[in-house]
Amino acid sequence: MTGLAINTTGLVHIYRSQGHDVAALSGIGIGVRPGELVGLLGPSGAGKSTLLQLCGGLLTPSAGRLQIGEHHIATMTEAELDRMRAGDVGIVLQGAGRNLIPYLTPHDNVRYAQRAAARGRPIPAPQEVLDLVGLGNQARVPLARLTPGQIQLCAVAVGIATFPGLLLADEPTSQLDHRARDEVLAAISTINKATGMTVLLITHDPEVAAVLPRTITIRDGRIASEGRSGEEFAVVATDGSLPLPPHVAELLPPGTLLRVTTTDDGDVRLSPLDQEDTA
Amino acid sequence: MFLRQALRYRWSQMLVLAGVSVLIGTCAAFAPWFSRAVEQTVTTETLSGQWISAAWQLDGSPPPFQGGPAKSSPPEELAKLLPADLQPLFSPPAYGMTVTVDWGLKGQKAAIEGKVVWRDGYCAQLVLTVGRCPRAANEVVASSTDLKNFNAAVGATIKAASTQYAGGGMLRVVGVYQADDLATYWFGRGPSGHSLPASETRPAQSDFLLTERVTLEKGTWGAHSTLDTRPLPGKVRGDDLDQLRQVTDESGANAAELNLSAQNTTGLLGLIDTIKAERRQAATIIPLVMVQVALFGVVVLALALAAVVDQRRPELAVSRLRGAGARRTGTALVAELCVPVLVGTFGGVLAGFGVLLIVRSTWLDGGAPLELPWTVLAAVGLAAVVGVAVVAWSVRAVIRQPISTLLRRIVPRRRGRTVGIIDVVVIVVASAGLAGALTGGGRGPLPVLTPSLLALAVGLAFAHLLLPAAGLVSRQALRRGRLGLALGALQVARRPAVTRIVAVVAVATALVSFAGQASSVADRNRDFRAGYEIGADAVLAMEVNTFANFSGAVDRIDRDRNWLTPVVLSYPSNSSGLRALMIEPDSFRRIAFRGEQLTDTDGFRALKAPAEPPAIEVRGNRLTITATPSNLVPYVPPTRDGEAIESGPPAKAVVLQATVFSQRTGSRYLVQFPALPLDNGKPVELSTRIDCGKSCQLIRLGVARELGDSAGLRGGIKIDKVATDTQPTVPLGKGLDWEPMQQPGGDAAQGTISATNGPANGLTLSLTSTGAALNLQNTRIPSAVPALVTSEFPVSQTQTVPGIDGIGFPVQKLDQLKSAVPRYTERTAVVDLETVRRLGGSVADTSTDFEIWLNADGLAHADQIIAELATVGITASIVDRHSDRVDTYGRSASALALQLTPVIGIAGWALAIIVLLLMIVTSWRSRAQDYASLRITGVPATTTGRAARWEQTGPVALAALLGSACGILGAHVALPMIPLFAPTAQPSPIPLDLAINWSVALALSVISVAIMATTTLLLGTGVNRRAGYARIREELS
Repeated sequence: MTGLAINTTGLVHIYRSQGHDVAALSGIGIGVRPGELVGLLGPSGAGKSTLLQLCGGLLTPSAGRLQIGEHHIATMTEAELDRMRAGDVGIVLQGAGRNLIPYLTPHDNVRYAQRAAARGRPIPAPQEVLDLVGLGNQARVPLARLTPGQIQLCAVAVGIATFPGLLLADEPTSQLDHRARDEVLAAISTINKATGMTVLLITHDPEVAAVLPRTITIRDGRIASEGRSGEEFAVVATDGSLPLPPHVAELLPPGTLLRVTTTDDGDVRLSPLDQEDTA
Repeated sequence: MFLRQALRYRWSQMLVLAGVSVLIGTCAAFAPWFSRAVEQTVTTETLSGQWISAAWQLDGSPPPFQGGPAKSSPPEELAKLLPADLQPLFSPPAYGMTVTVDWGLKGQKAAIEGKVVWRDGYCAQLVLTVGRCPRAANEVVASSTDLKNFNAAVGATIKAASTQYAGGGMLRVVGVYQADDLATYWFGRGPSGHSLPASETRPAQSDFLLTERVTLEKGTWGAHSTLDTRPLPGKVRGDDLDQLRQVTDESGANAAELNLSAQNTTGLLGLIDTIKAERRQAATIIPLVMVQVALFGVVVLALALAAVVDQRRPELAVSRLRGAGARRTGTALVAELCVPVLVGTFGGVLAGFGVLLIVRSTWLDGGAPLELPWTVLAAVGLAAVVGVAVVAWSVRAVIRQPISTLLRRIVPRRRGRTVGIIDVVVIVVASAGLAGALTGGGRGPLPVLTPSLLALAVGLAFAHLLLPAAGLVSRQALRRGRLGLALGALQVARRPAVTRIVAVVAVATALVSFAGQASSVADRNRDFRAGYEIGADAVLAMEVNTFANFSGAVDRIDRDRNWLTPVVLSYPSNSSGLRALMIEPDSFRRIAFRGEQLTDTDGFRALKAPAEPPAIEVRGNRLTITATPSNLVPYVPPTRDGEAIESGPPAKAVVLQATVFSQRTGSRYLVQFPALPLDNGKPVELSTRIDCGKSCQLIRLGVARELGDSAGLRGGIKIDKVATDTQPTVPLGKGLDWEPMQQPGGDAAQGTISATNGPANGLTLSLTSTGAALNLQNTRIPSAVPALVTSEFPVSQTQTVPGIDGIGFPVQKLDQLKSAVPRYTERTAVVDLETVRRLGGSVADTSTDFEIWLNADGLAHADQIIAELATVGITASIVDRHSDRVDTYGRSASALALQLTPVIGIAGWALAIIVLLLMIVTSWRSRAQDYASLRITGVPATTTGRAARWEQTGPVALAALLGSACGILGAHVALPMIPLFAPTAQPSPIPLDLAINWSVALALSVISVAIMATTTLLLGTGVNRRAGYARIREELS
């Protein structure tokens, strides 16, 4: 099992509705290496879930390129997308209950998720999947008797039921207490390390983001910054534009002229042009 | 995979789906089963109730008489006419031989008409009062009435001669039998128990002389061979009727092929036509009735499935998320939902069979065999296919949505209020169907579907108007501070599912309302027709010798006419004439079925005999008249072409005549005086014999002419005095008390006569005579008797109807007949019995029937009435009962089929309640969350409770009222198209009363509204109870 890479270039998605269109993503370019664990951050409405759904083939890009492993999402048919979701991409939706069949046990939910997997593809035993997320002892327990954290772990287990190359998880730690949150996060980390599965997860929780090796912050449909091991970086877009971090943007209102200079050390310095200079 | 868990998890939904499917399956299976059972029941009951008509009564004639011995073919030969494969369907043949003879005791003239009969096993059917059964040739047993009337005692020798052949023989009486009413053995042609002594008009007639077969075989009697057999009720199935018809129809031709001179007297062909007509009714009504319920069930199933599938959206999304394609996901869901649908549908077969068993033992009295016709399998198969198709259609509508849409908890809807295409299509189709029903002349199934179609169109239209109206109400209520109403109306406005509920409730209550109308109107019409056909609660028929005896007996039994009304019926000699129904208007209007509606008050007044002047009574044995010719001169009638008529010698005399009738015997007769010479101014006394020793009434005076004298004559005759040997003077009254009788042909050219006041107690007659007799009739008997004539009969000025003596009297049509004439609905003139009585006349027993019509009290005293009639020698029996006829109609295919209508009503209510439950089952959580949210914001529980209760109750109650109205209106349109009675060759003159039964309509409307409103109130209360704060946090559905 190897993880799948994610590569997007100029990815645009527009929601069309009566009277007006809304651009949820405006030319996003991301590269995620196989086996990487990446968190998607950003305020509500920034486009995180849209990006996740695009990666899962639940939405079709309005423009741009989106490649998951060898899959070019924009050009795939519905059947090809189904096959991709059946084996290569696992999705965990926000709200654990939405991922599960309420009348099935964790074991049967995993089995249910494995139904569509292509023949010939090695499928892990449901118990193995549940063991991986730490829910092996509750395999046959009805969902109604599980704690919220266990239900979320079950949702994660369902998402990785076929050991896909990519796991897309939308806020898997939300609405959980700290302990449950940590268990879920640990499970996802274990999965990532044990299987080499690429994981792209959305979170609002700074504590969760802090422990993730890489985070990408999206704001207004664009990549605002990227974090590596707790440190934030601005990201230069493919068109050369540079979204400023919020605390810097507050200092530099729109229209501010910046002098860009480079130092001998190779640093790039942005200096606002003084009013006096302009005068 | 996981099917069992899925079914167990939503067992209540599965139960609902299975329940609706059971109903559909029950309808599908029961309709053809019941239709078939009704057909078989009608077949069995018709063959059983009219078994003599159904019987084959074969009569094989001997070879034509050629002077020599006539050897009859044995009756067993006749059995060849019945094919072997049909013989199991018939009763064992009863063989016989019969010959018509003239007989007399030895030494007397053979002047008694009778029959010598052998019938297989006859002796076991007789009650012998004297002697024994015949054992050898030429031994006979005679009836006890023949013993009484003709002295045919044991030991007597009878000389009998065949009336058609030269043969005959001497017969010896060895026993006397009492005729018994064993119709099943004799097939209606057994000994009558009566014999008639000779009278002036007919020879003596005897009962049967029964003998052994050898008697008729040995002699040269020329006996007829007979065979009686009948189709066995219960063994003959509906499928056998065509073959039976063909064989019966061809029996004459088959006999000719077999060289048998045989005739088949049977009414089987007509009965088969009747049965087939009833079968067609059953095949029309039952499927139409059940299809409505089944279609409604399918609509409810579709609604239920739509709700169920909508609730499955998260699971469908999960399946799609895990890579299952739309087809695979859809197939899995279809498989899951097909389980309850198919189990229910096929379970409905068992339910249908159970209902059939119940119906068979209750309504059909076990008259139908248990069988599995192919139509049941086909209908159930079709229902299953429809059920699966509805499941597939319901799933397909959702499964084709993109995953992103499936993931949304609330499906995005277009902004603004729009009417769905399906709703528009349904409204258009329903309206078109309704228009077709209203303009299509009642052809096809559409008229019966009118209530459903109308309710569907109106219900959906109302539902779509309801949503914006609810929004408006909500805003206004909010402005006025009525929060409960505002919230309830707002919930209605934002839940388009209410359109489905409203439409379904409207259709359900329309079905209920229509079913109630169909059932009650059909009941009323069966009662109505039975009443008109019978005439009263019961009818007694009797043999009467004299009218006086009859009327005297009736007066003695019930002078005040509290129980009965006497009716006399007189038939014309030709079948195209009018018969006279003579009634007592006062008692008839009270006792006869809807007698008061026969005509209006003026009509009854006009019908009744004039009260004045009093009768002219004549007593004695000689009637004397003193008359004086006055100015009688020859008269030449004018001609049209002006040519003179060659006239004979001038008249020399006229003949005065009078018509009297005896109050003792009722007989009416004409007496003629000797010729009155035309000596003007000279009084002449003329006398003639009369038979009025007790009392007679003078009803007519007239002037005739001598034989061969047709010379024209004009002038006057003064009748100075009329007297009898016991009455010095018979007062004739005034001239106005006499009016000319209508002349035969109504031609004034045949002469005229009138009367004016004459001498004291006398009259002056003015006449113009051209040879015909001219009569004046006392005005207490109208010269043309007022009559209410059934509308189809053209009545001319010269129309006559037969009196009780069979002699016609002129009638004058009153154009005041307001309804059908009870019992005698066609070719009938209703006249006043008293008027006819004043006219007098001997009873013509061949053309006059006497009846007493009874009301309920009279029927309760029927035995007493019959006994009292017997004391004056009148043998009466009840020939018809209203209740019997109602029962008979209650067993018709139409009635049996319409008995299903209460089932429709209950099914309609049940389905509507199921839909309400289903809508609650699938929406209560979100509604409870809505109300919980409102409570969090501070809205009191009482307010949310009021909103929850009235959210659906108001629209549902309104829809129930609308549906009831549609059902009533639909019934008004559809009822004339429902065959309530088997079709007849001629349309019945008894009108159908298809008026809406408003009491039933009102009751059912109230019950419908109460049931629906109560259900929604209870459900709303339940929803509000669940609107706790914890509800908001729920996630797992």
